[in-house]
Amino acid sequence: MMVTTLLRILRRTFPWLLAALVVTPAWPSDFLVHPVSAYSGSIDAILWVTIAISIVFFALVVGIMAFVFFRFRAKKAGEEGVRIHGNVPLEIVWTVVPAIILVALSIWAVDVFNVELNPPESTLIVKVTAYQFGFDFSYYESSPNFQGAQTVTVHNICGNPAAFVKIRSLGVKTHGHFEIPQGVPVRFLVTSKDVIHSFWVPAFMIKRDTVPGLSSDMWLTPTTVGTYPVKCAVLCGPGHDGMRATLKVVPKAEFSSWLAAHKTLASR
Amino acid sequence: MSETAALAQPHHDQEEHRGGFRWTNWLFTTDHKKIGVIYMLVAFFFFFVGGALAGVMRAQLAAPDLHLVGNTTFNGLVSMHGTIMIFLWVMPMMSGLINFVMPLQIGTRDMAFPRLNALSLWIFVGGGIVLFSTFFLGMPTAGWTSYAPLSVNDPHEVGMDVWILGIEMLGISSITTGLNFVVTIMRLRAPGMSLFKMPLFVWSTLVTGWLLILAMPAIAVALFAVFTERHFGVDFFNAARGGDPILYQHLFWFFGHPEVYILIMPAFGIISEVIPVFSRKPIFGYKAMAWSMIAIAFLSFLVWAHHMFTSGMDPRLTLPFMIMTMVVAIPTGVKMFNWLATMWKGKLYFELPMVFAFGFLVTFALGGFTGVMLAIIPLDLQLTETYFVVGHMHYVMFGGSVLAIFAGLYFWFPKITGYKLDHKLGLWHFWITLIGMNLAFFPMHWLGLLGMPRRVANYDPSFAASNLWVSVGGFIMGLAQLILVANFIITMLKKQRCGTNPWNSVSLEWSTATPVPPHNFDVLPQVTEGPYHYGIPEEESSTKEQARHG
Repeated sequence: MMVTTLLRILRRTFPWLLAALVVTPAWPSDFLVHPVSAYSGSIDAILWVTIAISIVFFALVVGIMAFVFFRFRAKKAGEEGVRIHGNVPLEIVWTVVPAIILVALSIWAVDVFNVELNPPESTLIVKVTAYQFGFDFSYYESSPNFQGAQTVTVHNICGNPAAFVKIRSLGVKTHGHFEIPQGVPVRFLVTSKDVIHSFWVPAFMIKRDTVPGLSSDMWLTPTTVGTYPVKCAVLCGPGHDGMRATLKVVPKAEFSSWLAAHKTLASR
Repeated sequence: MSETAALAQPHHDQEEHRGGFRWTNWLFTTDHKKIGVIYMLVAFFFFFVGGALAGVMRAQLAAPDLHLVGNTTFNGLVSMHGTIMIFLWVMPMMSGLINFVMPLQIGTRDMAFPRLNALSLWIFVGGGIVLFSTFFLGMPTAGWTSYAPLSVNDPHEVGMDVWILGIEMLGISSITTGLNFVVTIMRLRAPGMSLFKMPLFVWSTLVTGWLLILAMPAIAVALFAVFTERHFGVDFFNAARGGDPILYQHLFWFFGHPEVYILIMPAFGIISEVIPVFSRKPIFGYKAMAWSMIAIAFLSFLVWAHHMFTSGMDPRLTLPFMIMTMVVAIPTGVKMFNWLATMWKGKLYFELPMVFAFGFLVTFALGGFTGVMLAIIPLDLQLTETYFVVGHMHYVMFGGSVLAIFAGLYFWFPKITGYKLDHKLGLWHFWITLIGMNLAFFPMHWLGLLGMPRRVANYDPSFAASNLWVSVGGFIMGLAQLILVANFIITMLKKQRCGTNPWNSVSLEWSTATPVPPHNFDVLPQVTEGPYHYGIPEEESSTKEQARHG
């Protein structure tokens, strides 16, 4: 409760704190990323806490600088300061305090990232194939209980580098646009046909590079219905800036009919 | 000490003809001071070339759907801007300052290997010319990182190969320079100057030297492998034939991360020289300052994969790299606090070097915080490969290295030329640069956070306002550098001598005549005290305080 209130206050005041640093009318109309999956929500929290800690330390640095600027300014030529070579207890303090904060941040980060490392066994699977300059999407589902299903190696599957995922094709393949259901875990297996690209959905706050010969993966559970841009994030050639796709998160029922419609399209 | 004294015998006094400029005196020189000056002049030329490239890019990006340059050209600009600013501006500029200052600071007559030093210089100039030729032969378009397989398939056949040749040449130059730095510092220090009596700029040079020696081979190997794959079909990085594209990234970043410390380490040294002189106080926690540089340099070889969290490497391996990266923040924080503490109870003189050091502390701190944010894996997966990274690295590289270079330049200019740069023009240079750079680099953070990838020639209309601001800030920053050039010219024309030691500094480079004689010192100095012997002893000052209050 405390944390969420704190976060809300931070989000409200942040642009003003920032404006103190750079006076600019260039604020984007929509300043914040709105988390649209459970995972991106936890990233958002860690982001704002890190920013808050940074602001505190930055204020400390600038505050000390402002103080010494006024308090210890020489008034005439030839003045000398005090010959102090150091202060061991003080130095220990500013070594240990940041260390503690960094350890705490690391633990939190590992905790958040652990979720991403352990995908559920049964999910909807979207295979993303990047190429110069676009994305193809094909639909599968996975379950450990599939008998004789197509088995796919995920080279660097999270938590188990050489494991296999048992998947079954849903017979749907799209190009440039794809849809996923709200509230259902979705796993993306990403690869590339030519050079390295990256599959990035900014609204989900996560990306994975698509590497030829590798099948990397990431997963998430979308929580908010909407249409989100997909972008390539790794320089991949002259068409890099136009390498886009769109993703639509739709309610479960709508997704089923969308999938069915595409299946009949494919079978025809 | 007798052995090192013999090594340091003056050996080029005869070649110096006093009075009258002869270009052969510069072309065939082995004098560390002239070599330093040539490095700096060439570096400044490339600073403006690299800046011009950024200018074209920011013009293209000033509005969402401009088509000033084609996409291939844009990618070429991206690649060459990065290459030039890193390899042909910051590195040689630091090299120039170190070449000029370091042998003087340790009280010796030249580098340990003066001819090798000249060779390094001219290989560097050659590499610069080779890289410059890509503007006519076709620019490489795979970015300064040149990731395989994109760099293997680069359509600009000749340009990419020429670029690889140029970087290999610069690599050789850097390795020999690094060796020269290390041997000079280890063997040629003035009698009495133990390691922990060296100025911190010398410490930073020693650490940079080691980084150059250990890191540069990795990029030499990586680019050589790209070259063999391009022409001889050796499929190191071709997945279809059993190669591994991610191997390139491991090699590149094993060089790439120490490289950023190669760029920032001398900056730490410069700031550590400037702050004590203008605070009239010894550096706070000298040993911690030296050890923190060693620690940062050591750690820099253990963090390379933090550039690759999204690459597809085993995610479990990313965790140790995150933790090591976090650890880097600790010695860096120690340096920040020690600089601040150095000013505490000092008597601060806001001469130009100090003004730039102040600017450095603010902007480098900002770059440091965004660095910690990028180290946190879950955040990195959103922020990496976006404008956030562009913002972060420009705060560190421009707000860190380049502001420190300016501080060093204003600081040592009187030693190099005998003239002080104009104070008023220097202040204009500082403020316009600072405002321009913050306008240009700060909005990049939220652009990246909101979803603008880096290295794009066009972008969503929703990012238009911020991008316009970035472009305007960039142009302001670029124009500010003309003030610096004007300051050079005016100062050199005015010819107002400022004396041997205008800042009243105690380190050795100021103890000899200006301009520095070819053999540096008539008598090699004897070192008895530490490098920052400023201020009045604490007991004395407290009795004075008591007297005043009592």
